[in-house]
Amino acid sequence: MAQAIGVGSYVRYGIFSQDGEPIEYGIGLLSDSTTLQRTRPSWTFVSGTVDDTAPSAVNLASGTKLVECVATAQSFLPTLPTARESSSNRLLLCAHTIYSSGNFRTMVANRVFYMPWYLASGREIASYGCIVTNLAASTKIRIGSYSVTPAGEIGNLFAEISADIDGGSTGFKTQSLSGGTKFHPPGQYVMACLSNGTPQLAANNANVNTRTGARMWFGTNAAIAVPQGFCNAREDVSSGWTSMPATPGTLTFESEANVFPHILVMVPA
Amino acid sequence: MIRYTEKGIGLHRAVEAAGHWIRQQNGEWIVSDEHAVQAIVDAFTVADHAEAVIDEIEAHAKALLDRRAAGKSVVQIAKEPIKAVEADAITKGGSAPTLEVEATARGITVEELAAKVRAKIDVESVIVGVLGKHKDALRAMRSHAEVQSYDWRTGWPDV
Repeated sequence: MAQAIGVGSYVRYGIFSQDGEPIEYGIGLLSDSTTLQRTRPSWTFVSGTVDDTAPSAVNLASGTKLVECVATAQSFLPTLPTARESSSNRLLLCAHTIYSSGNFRTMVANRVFYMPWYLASGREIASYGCIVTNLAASTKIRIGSYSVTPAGEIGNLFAEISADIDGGSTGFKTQSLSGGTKFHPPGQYVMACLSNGTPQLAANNANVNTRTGARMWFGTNAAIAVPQGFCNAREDVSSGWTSMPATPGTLTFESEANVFPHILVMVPA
Repeated sequence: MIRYTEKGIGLHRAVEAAGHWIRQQNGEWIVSDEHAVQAIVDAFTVADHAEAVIDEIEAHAKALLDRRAAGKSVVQIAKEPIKAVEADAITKGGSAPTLEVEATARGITVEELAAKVRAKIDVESVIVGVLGKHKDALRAMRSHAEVQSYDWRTGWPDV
């Protein structure tokens, strides 16, 4: 099965008793050649009762079971870089290619910065984060992602972190997503970041090139320079916010020099 | 649990350079090896902190100076020291053959061109001077709080 579909792929699976009685259907991950992780059970059948309300995986009794797997469409999409997935940090990628420790964005109070992000293959995402390279005392940082409409515009809020990140100290910071780990289907997203002050944020530091797989579009050559600034959208919001806007308001589009990606995403441990 | 003390992003880079990591996850500081990282945190001096900030300032100054040179050919850059000498010579009644040719082609007087050359040099000198001022200030500091609160983004010319 792993040879046919590929380790690391998500599959639609069904588990049956040896008599062919259904036990569980769902979406799972072929995490290695002999392991199917039941990531998202869709329906379970226990004692003749159907549970289709996002049930937990069935605690399987000992004995042989029959398992049927069908590759999902995303299984045929390119896989994402897996740099450092074995480490505790488990950073996957940033919203853009990044390179130098001098690449950062200085936030503006109560201003949402939006920037595009392409996710080549669906993944479970545990956290969003950033690196605070220069603190701003008593400030907070909020990060979220937005879907993209068929017209290519910024759509609804897709996911955001469950609590604010502290902008009052430096360092590499991550925060779990609201509602827990969330599957991100492949495709185009817009990542967004908001602060109530002026911390300076980055998506890398001196050793990031060996850590994040962030240069996903440009191979693995650490000597490739980043684009010198990029086009993004921004929006000013009222102070006192407690979460990202559910939908973007009036946007200003701009091309900024010497501004760099500053959001990281992290896969589950 | 690690006893984290704010010492700037340079501390985090020092931790990584030593093969460890430190991260604030859901508001809690977590590390790869508590004893090893704590030792690095404790041993990171004010001078280390200041030098990490100086690295950032030097990168900023270099970016400004590089921006001044952006788009110029090697011929233009090679001629700049000559033009600087000639611009100085004009103020002392000396000759400025290179500037005279350029001024004639440009349609301005050689004195006007010399003033532009000096203004350009002055801007670059200000960048280097501001860099030195911030470095001096940081190296004289005696506490992490001083270094952390020092605003080095002031005094730079518009480039």
